Amino acid sequence: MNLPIYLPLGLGALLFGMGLWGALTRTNAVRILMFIEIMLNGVNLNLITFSRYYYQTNPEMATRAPIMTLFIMTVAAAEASVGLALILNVVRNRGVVDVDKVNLLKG
Amino acid sequence: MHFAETFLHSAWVILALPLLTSALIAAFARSLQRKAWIFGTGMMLVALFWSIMTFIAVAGGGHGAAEAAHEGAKFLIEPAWHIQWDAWGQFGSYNMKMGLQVDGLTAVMLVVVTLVSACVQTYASAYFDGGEKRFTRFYAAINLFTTGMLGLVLADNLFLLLVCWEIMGLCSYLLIGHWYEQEWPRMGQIKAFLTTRVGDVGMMIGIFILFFLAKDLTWVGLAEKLPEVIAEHGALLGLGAFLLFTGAMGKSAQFPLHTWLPDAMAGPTPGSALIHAATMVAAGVYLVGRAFMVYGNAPGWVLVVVAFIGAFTSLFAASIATLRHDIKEVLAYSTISQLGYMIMALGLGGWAAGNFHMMTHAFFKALLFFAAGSVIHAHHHNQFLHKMGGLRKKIPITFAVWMAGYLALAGFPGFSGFFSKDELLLAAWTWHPEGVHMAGWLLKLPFIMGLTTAFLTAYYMTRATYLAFFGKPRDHHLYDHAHESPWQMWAPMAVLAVLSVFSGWGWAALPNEWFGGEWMLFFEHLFHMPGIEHVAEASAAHAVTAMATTAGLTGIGLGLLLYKVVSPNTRAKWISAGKPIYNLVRNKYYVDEIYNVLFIETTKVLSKGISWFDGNVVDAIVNGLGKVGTQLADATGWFDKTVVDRLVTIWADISRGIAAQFKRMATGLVQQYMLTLVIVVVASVVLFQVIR
Amino acid sequence: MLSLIVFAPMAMALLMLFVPKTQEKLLFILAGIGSLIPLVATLPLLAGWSGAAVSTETYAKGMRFVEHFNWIPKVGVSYTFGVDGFAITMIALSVLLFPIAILASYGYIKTRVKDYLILLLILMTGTNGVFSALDFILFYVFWEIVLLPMYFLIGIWGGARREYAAIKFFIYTLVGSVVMLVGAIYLYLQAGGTSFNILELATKTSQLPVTGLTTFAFFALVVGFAVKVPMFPFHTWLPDAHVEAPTPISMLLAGILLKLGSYAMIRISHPLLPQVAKQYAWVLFALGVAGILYAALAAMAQKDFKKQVAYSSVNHMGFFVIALSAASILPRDMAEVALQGGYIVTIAHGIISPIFFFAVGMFYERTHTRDLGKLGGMFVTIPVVSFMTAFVAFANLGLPGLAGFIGEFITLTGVYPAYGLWVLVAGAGLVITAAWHLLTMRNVLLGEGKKEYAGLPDVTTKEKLIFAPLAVLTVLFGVWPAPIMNLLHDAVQTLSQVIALGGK
Repeated sequence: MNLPIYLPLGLGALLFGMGLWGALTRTNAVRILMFIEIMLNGVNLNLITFSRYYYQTNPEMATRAPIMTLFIMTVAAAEASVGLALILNVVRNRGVVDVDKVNLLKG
Repeated sequence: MHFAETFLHSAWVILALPLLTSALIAAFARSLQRKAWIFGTGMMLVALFWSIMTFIAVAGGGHGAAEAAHEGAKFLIEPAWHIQWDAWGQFGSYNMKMGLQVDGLTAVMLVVVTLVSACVQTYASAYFDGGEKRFTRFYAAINLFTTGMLGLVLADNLFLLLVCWEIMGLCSYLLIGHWYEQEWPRMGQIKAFLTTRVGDVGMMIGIFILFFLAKDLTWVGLAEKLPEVIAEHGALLGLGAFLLFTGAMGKSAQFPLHTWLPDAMAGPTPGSALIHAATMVAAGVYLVGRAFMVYGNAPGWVLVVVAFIGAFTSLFAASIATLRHDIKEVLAYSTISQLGYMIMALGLGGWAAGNFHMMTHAFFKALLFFAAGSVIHAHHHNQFLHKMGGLRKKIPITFAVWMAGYLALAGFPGFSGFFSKDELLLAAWTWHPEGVHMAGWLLKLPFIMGLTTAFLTAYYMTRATYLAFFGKPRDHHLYDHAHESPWQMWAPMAVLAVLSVFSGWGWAALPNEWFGGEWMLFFEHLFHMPGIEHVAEASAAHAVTAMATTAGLTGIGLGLLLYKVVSPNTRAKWISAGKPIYNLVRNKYYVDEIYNVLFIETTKVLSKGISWFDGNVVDAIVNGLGKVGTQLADATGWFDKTVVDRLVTIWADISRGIAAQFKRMATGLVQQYMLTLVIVVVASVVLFQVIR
Repeated sequence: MLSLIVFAPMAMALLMLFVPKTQEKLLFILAGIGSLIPLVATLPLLAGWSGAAVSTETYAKGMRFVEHFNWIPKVGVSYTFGVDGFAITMIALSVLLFPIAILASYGYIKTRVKDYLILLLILMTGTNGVFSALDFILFYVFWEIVLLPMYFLIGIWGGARREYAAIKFFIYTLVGSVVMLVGAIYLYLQAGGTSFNILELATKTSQLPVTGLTTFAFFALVVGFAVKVPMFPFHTWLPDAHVEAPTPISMLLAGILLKLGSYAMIRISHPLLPQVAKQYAWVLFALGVAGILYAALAAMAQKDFKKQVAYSSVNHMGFFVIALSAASILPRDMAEVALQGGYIVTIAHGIISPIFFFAVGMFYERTHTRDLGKLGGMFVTIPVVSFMTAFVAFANLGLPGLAGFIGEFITLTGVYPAYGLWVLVAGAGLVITAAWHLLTMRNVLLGEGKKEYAGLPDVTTKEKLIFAPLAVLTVLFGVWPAPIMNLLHDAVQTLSQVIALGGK
């Protein structure tokens, strides 16, 4: 079964664009976090697609991208937990979850 | 004779004795006190004895054998005794040895110097009264001086001579300033030292020239080497000889360096007698005589110049002496005049005559100073002739010895001065300079000047004698208290009086003709200088003797006429008639005043100017440079702060401004950052594609 | 042995750091020992001089008692010590004067004794080092070592205007030495840049053509040394430094420090560039002879006793300068005479001027004034001190029979063939020098005793001890200069040969 490459790539781009749009427009920190995860998955999809496409005849190299993807997913999970913890703290200290209201980095 | 030879061969003892005496007196001044005179005189008598024995050994001959050693070297008397030692070591490729030597001239001088010195030391013991604070200092200085003078006559080279020359200068300085609490001695001593120093610098340069020419400074070496260089360096040798003579001019007070000697009279009279009459001032004459190998070999004009300077000085000083009021000043100018005589004689080639006169002069001039000192001593330190008078009755011994000295100086027939002056004038009469062409009247001019001087000398001495000893007392208070001097003063005077009268008979040409007797020509033989032939026809000698005697007697007559016959009022009238000339002579031709303006004031102004220059210009330049430095530093500091620093701060300001702009972008809103990031990434990608 | 002479004082100075500063007597004793060790060490060198081996190595040709080690071989710097007649006489003078100066300081310096003595010992190391070093860098190091202690010695223990004087001294000499360094480095590079050894440098640089740059290098060296000498017109630091410095320091300044300049000219500027020296000898002569006359006249007008004596240093060193100038243009035999004379002037001045300054100090200590208008009649008040002063004044004005005269006489003997009757100008200087000495003696010593000075104490034993050795030498060398003459003879011959061969 030879899936045309533009389909998974298109899906990846869609996911990334969706995540980007969400991350930029939403103000709720938790949502932003979720959209970031979506962006990451879009990127993961792209990675696996290219790997599949280029290393069909080289099984040894073909396994690398999926492994990397798994790593990204685990790291993303860890990151999400750290991110959530941060958000939790922000909420606890400032009482808001809206990133527009949190401008501690303002110069 | 063998006995005497031993003394000749240890002649250095004569030099060592006074030096030792001087050191001992200086070292044991406190315990010796007034006994110093016994010690000093005793030691000097030993030295005198030694000198006499040396003289006998030299005069007795026996040094003819050595004469062959330097045969052909003109103007060199072969020394009878000569030692050298290495005091200098190598300098460059030369080795200058110091040495002592004795010949006829030296032997005579040794006796004269030690004799006069012994006399002075005896005399001074009574001359200084009990209140004298610096008695031992005087004796130490006198002995040191004697060392210097003996060293001078014993020296075998110009350098050692110069050293002794200056030691004498130092002692002269010390003795003139003996009573340094007073102003006159203090000024007089400085004047003496500096004036002679001017001559000495000339002399030193003369010595440099001679060293350059001969590469040797010993008399023997000069006599041998100078004839070789005369062809090539004649003019230079002439210059060197003349510059050497300037030293003699300073020491022997020849015009124009004569002004110091009258002021040297500020010292105690015994010192004046030794230093400023008998010995030190004669050192210049001795130098010209001793260094005759220089003058004899030099171009003829040098000796002509020497002769005329001497002749002029003798006349010049004699004329001043006619109007002096201070008895010592009369003698001082007389000394200058007589020294000019000797210098003239040497310049005219009358080598023996000049030296003979130096010897007789030493006796009678020391005697006159002693007598004058005795008068002053008797007269409560009054030196003015116009306050004296009639003293012959009060102080007969002094009067008697004064008369001996007076007649000797005035050239009265039979006295020592008569014979020496005679020889001297004879040399002037027969003068024929070598290598110099002169008009006939110039050739006779020194003789005429000499004769005039003889006349003036007789006149001023008669004047002084009359004013002091004859006539009526002018100051009765002083006269009544006048008293004869003790034996310590008249005994040495008596010795010198005998010599003043009789020493001339050692070269009495005319009596020798009349009576015969080889001893009467003793000094003519002793003072024989190879290279100078002294030939005078008997008729010339007789004529000169007649003229000299006439001049002397006329002078005495004039003196008697003016002071015994003519009344003081008439004298005053005559004086006012010749006022300008009288003032000129009375003020010593204003030489002192001219020098004062020309040299002393000029030097003072110059030195002030230089000092101002040093403080205000040279130092100002340095300080100015320093100031420029500090101001430069200030400027740099300012520049650093305002310009360099500003540059740096400007950069900071600029970046701060830029930063302020950028700061606005930092809203702290995460999403804006992200948007920026996305835009940048997209833009980068697009840009990357475009560039590729 | 030379290293001992050079470094013993420094070692003693280090040791003295550990002595508490309240122990003044102990400090003086230690400093005395530190300065006496070099004196004792010098005696065998003098005694064994004629028997000592003369080096034939290129780095120390003609030198004796040579010590040679590599130091910085890459640029050709070595630790080379060695002495010839010029050096050993100066070392002898130095090791003699320092103990005397320390003795003179005893009881005179009352504040910060420890610092003072340590500085003095360091100074001694510096001077001895300069006279021993044969390597330019080593020489320069010692040269600078001399500078610093002197600055502090004047600046801390000096008189009222001490800071002005100290800074003036410092800047003058520092500028001089920097200029000198530039000149020397230029020559080092011209000579191939392989060795800083002075003698090796000289063999090469003396053959360089006379160009603008070598001329510059020559004058850079000469100016550097002329400041120390001091040569007219670089002399104005000297009167100020002398007037402000304490007596012992004045003694050292006049006795030794000025000789650094004259020695350096003999050792460095003239052997290195004799061809330039020959061409520009007239410059040195003009400055020297001008200095003689100028300083004599300037001294005459001074009101301050010490300033007068200071100017007389300029006057005397002028004789050295004209001798050197004459030596660089004369044929060998007369050049030797001039050199020897000029150098003896410096030695004699090194003996006489310290006691002259000391005499001035004796008056100052008693009367607290140096104003010539205020002093007077001292012969009546304090006869022995006055006698000492008169003695040294006559020595200083060049009375024959005393050391000062010999050098002046030989110098002018040597200068005459080179410059003819120009020596008359120097002669006029001699007369004026005599004049102001006599006038000063008249003002200070003669006359009626002054009431305000009645009852002043006369000379002390300590003062006699300080005065005696130098006075004895003054008389000794005045009548018997043979020892110095013979010490100098070889060195003079070598130097005149170097000068004669220069540029050929």
